[in-house]
Amino acid sequence: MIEVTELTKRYGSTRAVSGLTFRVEPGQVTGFLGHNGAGKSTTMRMILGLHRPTSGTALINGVRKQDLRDPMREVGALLDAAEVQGGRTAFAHLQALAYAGGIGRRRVVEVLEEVGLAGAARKRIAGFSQGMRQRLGIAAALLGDPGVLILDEPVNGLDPDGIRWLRTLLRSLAGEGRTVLLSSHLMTEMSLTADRLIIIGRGRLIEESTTADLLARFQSGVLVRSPHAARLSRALEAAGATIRSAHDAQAVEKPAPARPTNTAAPTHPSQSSRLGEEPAHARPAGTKAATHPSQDFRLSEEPVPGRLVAAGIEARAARDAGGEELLVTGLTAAAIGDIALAHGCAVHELVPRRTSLEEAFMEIAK
Amino acid sequence: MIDLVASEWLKLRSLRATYYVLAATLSAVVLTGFAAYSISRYFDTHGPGGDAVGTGLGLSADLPPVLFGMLGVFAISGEYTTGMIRLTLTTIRSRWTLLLAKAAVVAAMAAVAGQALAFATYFTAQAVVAGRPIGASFAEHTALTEVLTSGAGAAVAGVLGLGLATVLRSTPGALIALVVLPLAPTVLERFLPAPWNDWVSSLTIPSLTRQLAAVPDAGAFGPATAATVLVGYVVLSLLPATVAINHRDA
Repeated sequence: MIEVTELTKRYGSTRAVSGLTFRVEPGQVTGFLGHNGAGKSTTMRMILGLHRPTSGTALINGVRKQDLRDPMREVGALLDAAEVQGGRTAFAHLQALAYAGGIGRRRVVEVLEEVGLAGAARKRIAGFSQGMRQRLGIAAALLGDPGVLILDEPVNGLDPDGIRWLRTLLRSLAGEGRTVLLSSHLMTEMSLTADRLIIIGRGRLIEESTTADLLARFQSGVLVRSPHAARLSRALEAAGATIRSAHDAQAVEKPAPARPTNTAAPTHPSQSSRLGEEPAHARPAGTKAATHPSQDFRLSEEPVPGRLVAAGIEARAARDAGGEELLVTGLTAAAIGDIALAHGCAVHELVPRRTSLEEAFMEIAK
Repeated sequence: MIDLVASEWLKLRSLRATYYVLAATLSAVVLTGFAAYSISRYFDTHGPGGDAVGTGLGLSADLPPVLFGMLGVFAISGEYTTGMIRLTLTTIRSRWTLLLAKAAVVAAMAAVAGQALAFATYFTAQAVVAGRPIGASFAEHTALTEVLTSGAGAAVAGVLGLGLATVLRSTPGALIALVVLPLAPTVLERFLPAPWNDWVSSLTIPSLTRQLAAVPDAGAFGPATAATVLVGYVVLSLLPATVAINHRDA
């Protein structure tokens, strides 16, 4: 459990964090979202007792970090995987940290295996890739088998496999009743990993809710494709729905042609972005992830790329085969399906259209 | 605390800079050998009346404190420059214990290495002198004590370097301070009137270790005062460092 109350940090005249209040509950993965410079790292450092708050409190399990009796067994942290001394071997690095908490050699071997670095244990960290360093940082956080985990941008530098591994690991750690707080500026990744989201901007709390609630709030209509579009439209309008032709809607809402629309999204080649992976070289410095034009941010329950490609091909086939697209607001997909059945209208496609989390975030963080 | 010492001991052992510094201390042995050789040659050609080699320690005495100071600097400056200090601090209860553990391992390593170096220097000098009456046998008054106090000097220098690096949080800054500080008394000595010049020149670590051993004409202080000043250096190094590490954001 992490409790942050009215937390404020000023550096000179700049307020890095102001009046931040939130709780991170055990048993869940909590995502800590914000643009670069929003105050995520500063907040995490204050929780970890590294930075002294100007005012307010940050408590771990009810006490300040510096008052924890056995810090390594209560909280584990990954702040910046690059912050290690490269001359040491991975094993010596972890063993030195472990000694400080009275933790034995066996546990060091264990965490090295858990993060998949057993083979590199005797190699100098200087030769590690960014992904390996990230794994080493996670190993260090896990050393004391702590009940609270605080991870700052843990997916940075991980390959898609690594991201999937980390997601599974974090979800299982939370499943064991641990408190897991991880920060990111990649909203899509967060939507797949986190149960709850805390969104901050310019050091202030913007939003604190469950991921599901946040997504539901930004659900914007249902896309319906039907060969009986005209008849179905009348029936749906009679039930209180608002109907627009999907093509018109897209033309209005998505004027930028480079941006993939929701219907076209599954066929977009950059499927890997679903996994939150984003090649650093592809992104100009300072550009927020959310504005990356080639990324497909549509949320999906099913993150397996192969299935998505298949779904995309089907969708394109359906479109080619004709049938008119309708964008329906004011009714759930279930209600639309029932009405269609009642009126004997065939439905070829019925897709709840969500604003992507990235878009939602951009809107919230404005 | 014992856990922390074990942790810091492993860190110091697994730091490459540690071995570079220890290897560099051998330069003191080489330097002493050369100096002893040239003094012996002078003795052979001109007879007695020139400088004596004595224990040989005095010929390279200014080097070890700077090198062992670097040992102390590297024990923490690398953590500050890489940012690893943040990870270290998340794993411990109170920050000052970290500093104390580092001071303990640095002092221990410097004392042992400094002592070994002093013996190596002594025996090298005596081997070069080879029986000429310009050396110093352990049977002689203060010869053995002069060698034995060198370890203490090295330990103090190590802690001094650690303190400097903790306060300055920068490797170059601490290294510059470490080279300039020991020079200060030598420079000041020239401008100050007696007895101040004598007192100031007696404040360098090599001078203090000789005074600690009660070597004749080593300086203005006796062994007790010299010991107090050396302990004072340790306290003066660790106090500001403790305040700094406790109160600064990491």
